[in-house]
Amino acid sequence: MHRVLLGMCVLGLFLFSSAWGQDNPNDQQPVSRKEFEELKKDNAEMKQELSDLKKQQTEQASTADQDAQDYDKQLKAIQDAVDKERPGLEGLVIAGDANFGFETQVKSDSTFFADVSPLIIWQPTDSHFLIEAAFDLAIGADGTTQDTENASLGVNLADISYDVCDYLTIGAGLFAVPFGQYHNHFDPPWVDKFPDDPLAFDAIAPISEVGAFAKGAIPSGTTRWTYDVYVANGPNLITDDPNAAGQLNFNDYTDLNGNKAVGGRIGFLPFYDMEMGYSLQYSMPNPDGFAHVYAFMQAADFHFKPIVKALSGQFDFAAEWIWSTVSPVTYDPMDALGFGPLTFNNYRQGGYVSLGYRPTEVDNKILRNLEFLCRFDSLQSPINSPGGEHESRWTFGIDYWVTPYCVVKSAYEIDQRQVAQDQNDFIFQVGIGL
Amino acid sequence: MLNKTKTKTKTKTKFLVVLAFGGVLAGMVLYGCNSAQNANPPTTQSVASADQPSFALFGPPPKKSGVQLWSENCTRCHNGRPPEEFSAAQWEVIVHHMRLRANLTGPEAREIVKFLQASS
Repeated sequence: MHRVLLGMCVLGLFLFSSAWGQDNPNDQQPVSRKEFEELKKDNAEMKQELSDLKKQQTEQASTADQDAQDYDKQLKAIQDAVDKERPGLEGLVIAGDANFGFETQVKSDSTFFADVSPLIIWQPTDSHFLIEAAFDLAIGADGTTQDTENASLGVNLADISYDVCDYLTIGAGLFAVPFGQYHNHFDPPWVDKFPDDPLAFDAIAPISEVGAFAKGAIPSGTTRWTYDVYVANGPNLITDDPNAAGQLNFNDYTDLNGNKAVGGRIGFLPFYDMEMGYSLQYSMPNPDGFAHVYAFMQAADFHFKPIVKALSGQFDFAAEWIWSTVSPVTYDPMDALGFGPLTFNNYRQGGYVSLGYRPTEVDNKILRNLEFLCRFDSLQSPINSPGGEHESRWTFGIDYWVTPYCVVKSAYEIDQRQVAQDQNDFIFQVGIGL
Repeated sequence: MLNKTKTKTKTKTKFLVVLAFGGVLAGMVLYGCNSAQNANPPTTQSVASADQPSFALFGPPPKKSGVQLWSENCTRCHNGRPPEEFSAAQWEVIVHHMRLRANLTGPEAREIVKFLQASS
């Protein structure tokens, strides 16, 4: 009996120890150093393999992206080639600009205005040639008459040019006159930061003329010289208008006397963001049958557009001045037109100085797209001449650049006139490049 | 009285003109000196490489990339138009037009076209 009890106790202890052993793995035999190192090595190898696999996968994805981009580029090149060869559209671009706005001036009716200027540029198969045509379709108020509105359709450009070499281009037709910088560089409403032209460039400067021209640029070191020469029909002297006798008419492209105007401009760019120039034009603007008259016009221009990091923005400084001399002559000598005989010293001058600041370097997007502007412009014509006046203006404006080629402008002009009444002006304009 | 006012206005205008051009000349000198000291003026527009001299009146023009020429010449007068706005063929015509407006040389125009076409 004792043996049976003893045997059962031994069996119980054996079963208990077996169960205890299964519940406590720590009681297994310890891993040797060698086994541990092998396991560690296996683990490191597996990690390396996993890393290699991941890397390979990333590279494959990157290559696939690159291939896709290459295919896109090839497809685009093919599309461009097809577009270029499409009959009738070869090298043809329709661009231009448009603007609309609102103006309210002291002693005048306020008005809306609009202007669309399509520009057609065509480069024929021979890429040395370029043909340009620009039109101007405008509607707005005429402040000088009682009319409530007028509309106009004009041609500003109609020329063909040929690149003789890398540094010389010749051309003919109705071309933009390189007289100063304003009409050549800053005139389009999406480029011009002010909603109207400076007084002098509206009155005593040519915009377009019919003739032939040669132009180009010559780099010298880090600087660049530019040149323009031309011969054109030139302006016409107004002789029979009692309100404008003695003024030059730049909008009539016909030649009244067979004499041609010659002119040109030399520009110098000491730095990429600075340009200065000197322009002149000599012409015989009198109509046939009128006394011989010469007109000599000169202009000096300067433009500087630096980024000043210390002030977190970009400045735009421009200054241009025009001097115009028309030889003295007697208008309406027999008083046939009712305002003569009239003789005066026909010397006129005018220009502008403008400064703009745009905080291009700040983080705030709205502030970055604002531009603050100030301009002084002036025009002096002989007081004793028909329409003679000494006028100067201060313009203060704020622009907002919606996109690089769409600007919303607002400006207030403080006007000072010596003869007529001052006419302060508020103008709002939206200018878009097409 | 009229003559007095006229003389006064003339003097004022002349003073403003002289002041403006004086300021301009002074600015040029200062800017030139500053540029001479700093080969790369800190501008976002400028993408000039470090080995280019800042000012040299004579000698061959420095080699400039299309993006640099685009940045320097186009944005002098107006904001740069995004390259993707026009197709490669259109850029060729537009830059030809701008070569006339901005008096660019042939090599400059070609480099700008290359850049715009690659980025369009």
